[in-house]
Amino acid sequence: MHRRGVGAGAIAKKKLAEAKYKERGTVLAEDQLTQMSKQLDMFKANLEEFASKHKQEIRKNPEFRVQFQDMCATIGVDPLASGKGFWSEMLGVGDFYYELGVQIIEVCLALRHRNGAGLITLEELHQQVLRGRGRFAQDVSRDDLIRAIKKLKALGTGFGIIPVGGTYLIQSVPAELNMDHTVVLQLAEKNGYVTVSEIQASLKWETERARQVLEHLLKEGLAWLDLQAAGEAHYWLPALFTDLYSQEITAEEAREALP
Amino acid sequence: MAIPLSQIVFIEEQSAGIGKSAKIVVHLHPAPPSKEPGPFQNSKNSYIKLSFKEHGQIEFYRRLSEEMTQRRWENMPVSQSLQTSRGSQPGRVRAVGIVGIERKLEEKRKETDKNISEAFEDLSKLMIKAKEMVELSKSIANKIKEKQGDITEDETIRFKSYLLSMGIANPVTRETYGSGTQYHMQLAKQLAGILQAPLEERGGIMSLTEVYCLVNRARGMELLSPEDLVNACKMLEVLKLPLRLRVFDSGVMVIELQSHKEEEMVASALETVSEKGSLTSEEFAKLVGMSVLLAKERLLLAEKMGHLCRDDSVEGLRFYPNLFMTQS
Repeated sequence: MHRRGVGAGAIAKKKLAEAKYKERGTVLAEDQLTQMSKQLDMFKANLEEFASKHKQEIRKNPEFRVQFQDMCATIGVDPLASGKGFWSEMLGVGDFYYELGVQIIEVCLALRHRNGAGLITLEELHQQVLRGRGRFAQDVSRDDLIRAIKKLKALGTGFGIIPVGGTYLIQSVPAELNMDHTVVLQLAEKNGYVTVSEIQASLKWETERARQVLEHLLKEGLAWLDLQAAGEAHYWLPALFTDLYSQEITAEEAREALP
Repeated sequence: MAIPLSQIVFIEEQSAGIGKSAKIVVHLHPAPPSKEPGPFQNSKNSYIKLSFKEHGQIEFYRRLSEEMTQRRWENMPVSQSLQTSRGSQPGRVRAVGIVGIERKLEEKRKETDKNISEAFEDLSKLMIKAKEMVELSKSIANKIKEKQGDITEDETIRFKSYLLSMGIANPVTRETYGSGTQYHMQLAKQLAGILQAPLEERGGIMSLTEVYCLVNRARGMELLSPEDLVNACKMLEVLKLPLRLRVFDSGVMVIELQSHKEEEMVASALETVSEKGSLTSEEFAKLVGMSVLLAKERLLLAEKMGHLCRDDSVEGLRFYPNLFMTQS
């Protein structure tokens, strides 16, 4: 009987085969890199064609941008990773979002003195960014803002996106907010404030846990303590006072509005 | 609010006096029975008064008189409807103008829809090709893994730049940061040039957010992505450039001049705090003329080095000189 694959000879043969395969492996990788290079050139040409026909669509249509981003994400491509990427260079998506990033940073910086801790609603951010961009600038959607902010996280700045109610709170200053803090913020979104009783009732927490979370929010300047409220102490979240901010007008506008 | 000129019978001026402004009185025909519903159904007056608080009455009177003389509305082929409500009413004929405009809008809508669906079709086709690129890059990455380091540096550089162009995360290292390419090296050198002066102006240190805004505002076009900036900054030290990237414990990232010694700045920070007894980050920032973010980092570093103590209360975070160290 002839048994295959056993014995010193067979092992040596196997090793030789492996080594040859590895060699071929080198060649294969080289080939594939060359192939990739060629395909890249072709893709670039395709993208150029697409851009010549539809570049405007990306710039003008927020819905289209969403579709575009989602498709990219599905196939595993990040069109915003680099300004040097094809997507950026040819479609101009990069500049749109990177500039938006700058505007978001500037708005958050400007507003920080107001709410003290760098926490604002997506709505307010949206309004302020639009105002800053002026009447003739391209339209910017909330989805655009979220994507730009996600990119800004790379700068290590403490930009955070916290879902509350049907919207988001945007954090622009590194403040340590863990799950507990986030959950309480979400609870407060309904009325703009929260109480210890509410936390106990909704979240079934012990008093001490609730108290600690609220103290932390006070310390970070995210919450204001109202001891004069009926019943028990109210903890207000100025970041949720969007209504107040949206009515702000300049002195000039006020003068013009008067009869 | 608008009243057709055809309703006007007669106009007269009333000059201004003490305590009252100049006025133009416009006498009107009685309202026709087909009058559209408005703020009031009827009025006991048959005139309106236009009041001119500052000026303009002379010009207005002149123009209105002209119109009254010309009576252009009697020559128009159809009466223009000023109401926003549509639908035919007895005695009113739709103006050609409005229908024309509506038709144009409709056409434009259809055109836009067509453009969008075409764009989506083309986009889908493009994405299929892009997916092929992703698959190919995965296959190459697998080959590289199998070879376990037998890949040449040249090949690595090529591969990384291809990934950068397509926006594909490096499948080998799984990191999208630190994937330095030629591009990032060039960028690092550029940054060293651009940032020297601004850093000196700001006491030798800037947060990465500030740098991002500064650089992109200066560029205007072909902006850097946040990741581009981070990847380039990671190469600063390797390339022996006069700046470096520093990451604080909190995760805050800054660019410092090589000559900047944050630890030495801590000594002066201690002096400042001692002078004032105690300081919060905001107070310190204001005194020294720094951003609150960087002020906080400096105070935290001072605390880490044992020079300051913290007092953490609901009133905020306050720093005191660490007397445990100095007074034994």
